[in-house]
Amino acid sequence: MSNASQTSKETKVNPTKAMLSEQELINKQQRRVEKSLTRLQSALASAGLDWTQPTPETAEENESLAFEQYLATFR
Amino acid sequence: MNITLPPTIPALRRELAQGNLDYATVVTHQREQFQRLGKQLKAVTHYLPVDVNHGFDKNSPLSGVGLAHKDIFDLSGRPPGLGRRQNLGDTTTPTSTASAIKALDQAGALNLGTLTMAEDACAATGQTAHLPTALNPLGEHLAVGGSSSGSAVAVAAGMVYGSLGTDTAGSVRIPAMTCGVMGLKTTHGLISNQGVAPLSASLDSVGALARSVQDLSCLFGAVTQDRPVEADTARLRTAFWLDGVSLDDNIRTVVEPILSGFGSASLDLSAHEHRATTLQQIVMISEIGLHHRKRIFSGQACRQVIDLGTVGLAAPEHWLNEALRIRRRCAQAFIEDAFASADVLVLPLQVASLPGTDEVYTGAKNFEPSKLLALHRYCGWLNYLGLPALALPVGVDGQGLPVSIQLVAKPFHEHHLLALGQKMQQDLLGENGIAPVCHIQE
Repeated sequence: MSNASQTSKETKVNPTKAMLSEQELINKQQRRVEKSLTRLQSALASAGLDWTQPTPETAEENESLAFEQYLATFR
Repeated sequence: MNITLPPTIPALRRELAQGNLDYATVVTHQREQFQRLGKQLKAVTHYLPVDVNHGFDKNSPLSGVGLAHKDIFDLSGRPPGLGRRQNLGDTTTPTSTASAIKALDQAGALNLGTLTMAEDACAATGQTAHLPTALNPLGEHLAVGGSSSGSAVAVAAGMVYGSLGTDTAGSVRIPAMTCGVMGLKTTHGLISNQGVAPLSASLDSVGALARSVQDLSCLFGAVTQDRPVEADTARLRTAFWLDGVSLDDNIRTVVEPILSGFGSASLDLSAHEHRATTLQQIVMISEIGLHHRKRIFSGQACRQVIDLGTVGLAAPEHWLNEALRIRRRCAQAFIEDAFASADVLVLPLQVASLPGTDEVYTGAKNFEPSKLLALHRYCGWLNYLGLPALALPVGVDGQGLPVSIQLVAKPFHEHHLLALGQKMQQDLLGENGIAPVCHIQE
């Protein structure tokens, strides 16, 4: 009996309110993501790295592979 | 079984070899202690069977030595638990054991069990949503750092001689620091990540925790299968970085006299640290997003993975490529600058006194995000640069709680860290390092 009334209570949630909460959550997540990206963008700028556009492909493109090779020179 | 175990692995091996202790007694005692303290401290996720009758093999360097590891490693027939409530079906049952664990098995070590960890190795504390959170043996009110939380607890309490963990942004060094033990993060790529669940593959490093530098050296030697390289500490040049570092006064007063005692040269590494920290964050969040994308969108990922991974997925695509592309240049610039006149750098690790669970566990009444961030303030940049680092307790603060720093060496120069760490341990802590401690009531 108590289980049944509990279930009935749970199904009486106002659907509009539930949807709004979900939207609020999405907005909150979006705000958080945007805030984090802005913070990273500003940290990059203060480190002298301008990454507003991708760097055009150059001979340096293989540098990520070269990181391991560079470390290996200390073995 | 009432015996007192020798304080270090070399001492245990000596006692076994000389016949002062017998193998079956030692193994049974370690197993019982592991089970008893494991329950008390909520540090174990799975107990593994141990063969008491196996016998002592004096040719195996870790024969009779009880270890247990972070629940992130494949074991043949058992997928890692990863601090999750249950296997969500994205891990398959492994047919072989992770190569790092296999190396320890081959060296004769006893693998007593798997240890609790922050879910998916993605947190600076050991707080877990679905499993019991491990208790800090130094005091129940104190937080346990993550993500290798169970490893630090097990080592500090004397449940095991040592434990393997992983470090992506401090996940070996932070728990070591909060439990007052030693933690070694190894050079990027030195120890194979085969059979280790990834968080951020470009940054993950297998590492080890122990109560003494001798024990770390034993584990390190067994996993890398290298003969230990001796380093003459008298010839090791040191440099330190303290100017402009944000340390609370009660930490600075402990650390400064120690550094000046070494007569080290002072460096300013702020610019390197700032740049590498930013790039580490970009690599980490991007790789978390890519690796856990499916779990993030299905809502199965933990809160931290969702929070970090969604930012990573929303970040401009070229950021990850750029961060990896200039990694060599950053590492080279740092090494040429910082190691020009030093072999080992003495760097900040701990910013403030060890925090309470009520300050850094999310949802706690006095939760302060700044105290949580302080736990990993000076960790992640070294993962981006790929360098080895040793977290080392060097004293106590006004409350009698441990204070730790980190030593950093050039790539693949762990022997420099272990040599200087050994000397500092001898001078500051005593020959055997840290004694096991457990202030938690049964």
